[in-house]
Amino acid sequence: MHEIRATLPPDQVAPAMRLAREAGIQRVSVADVYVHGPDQRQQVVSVETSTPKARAFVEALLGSSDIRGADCSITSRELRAIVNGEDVAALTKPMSEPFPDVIQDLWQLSHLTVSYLARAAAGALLLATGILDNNAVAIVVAALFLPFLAEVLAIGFGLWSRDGRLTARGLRAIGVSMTLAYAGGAVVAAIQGGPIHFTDFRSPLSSFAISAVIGIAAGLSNADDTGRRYLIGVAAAVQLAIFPVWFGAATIIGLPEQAVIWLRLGSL
Amino acid sequence: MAAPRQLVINLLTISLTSVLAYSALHLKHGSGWRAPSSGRG
Repeated sequence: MHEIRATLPPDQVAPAMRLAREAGIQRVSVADVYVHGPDQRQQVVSVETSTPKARAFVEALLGSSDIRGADCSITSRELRAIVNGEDVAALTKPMSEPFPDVIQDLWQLSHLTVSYLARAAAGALLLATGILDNNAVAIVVAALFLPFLAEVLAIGFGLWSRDGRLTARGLRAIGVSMTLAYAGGAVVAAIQGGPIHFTDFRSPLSSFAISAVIGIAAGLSNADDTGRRYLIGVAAAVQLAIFPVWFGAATIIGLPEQAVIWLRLGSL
Repeated sequence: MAAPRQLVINLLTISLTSVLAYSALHLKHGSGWRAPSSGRG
């Protein structure tokens, strides 16, 4: 469920209300506001409705040449509950979210901040201990906060929506995550020493199949209120982060004999 | 080396299959997605 608010010049309110009705939204609130900056009186059109209707309304607003030509802003909020007499079965449909929700979420998650770097570094260190000791608990816990999936999805969504800046952001963030993962593996290996006990690499074909399933599930969940995308992020982090961490550790310790065999088999 | 190759394959597979998923959602996109006040569109 979403609330969509559009702050519009008064002459655009009637077209916006018409678009809301066409999207199947019956209740539309309108309030007068004074917007500092442009220093003008505008009106806020607000609807609280199911996610599919909110998406239809946002798409109609952004597709309207009248409204697009005006000075306006549109915001979207996810709601926990709406009690307004509408049928709960229709109201709680969770797919799919409006386009701006999806793309701005990926933009937000692809910014390189101190917090991002701390999560990537801490996750890499924890994953390195898990790989050196072959400790599944440490590997899964590390994958819970390793930033990988949203950044890969940013690449995919940027390609699909032809937003080159988002694709570049995703690539840069993934590059940083990979570098920190490699460094984390090397640091833990230098402190803890070897050998690397983790050897449970999948065959290239099964790894490809798992990656394909993760990509489709993650893409669909990305636009779903109930997608629980962070849980899929664990699977993606394991699928992507193990390689640079393992290589970082192997750079310090040396390749285990079994791994050399695996590498040779894999390169056939 | 197989491991870096596998990493690249996983990366490409996840990102490209997510493109398939986004296509299936039929989200409308393009130049119209930003509000005019953001300076683009």
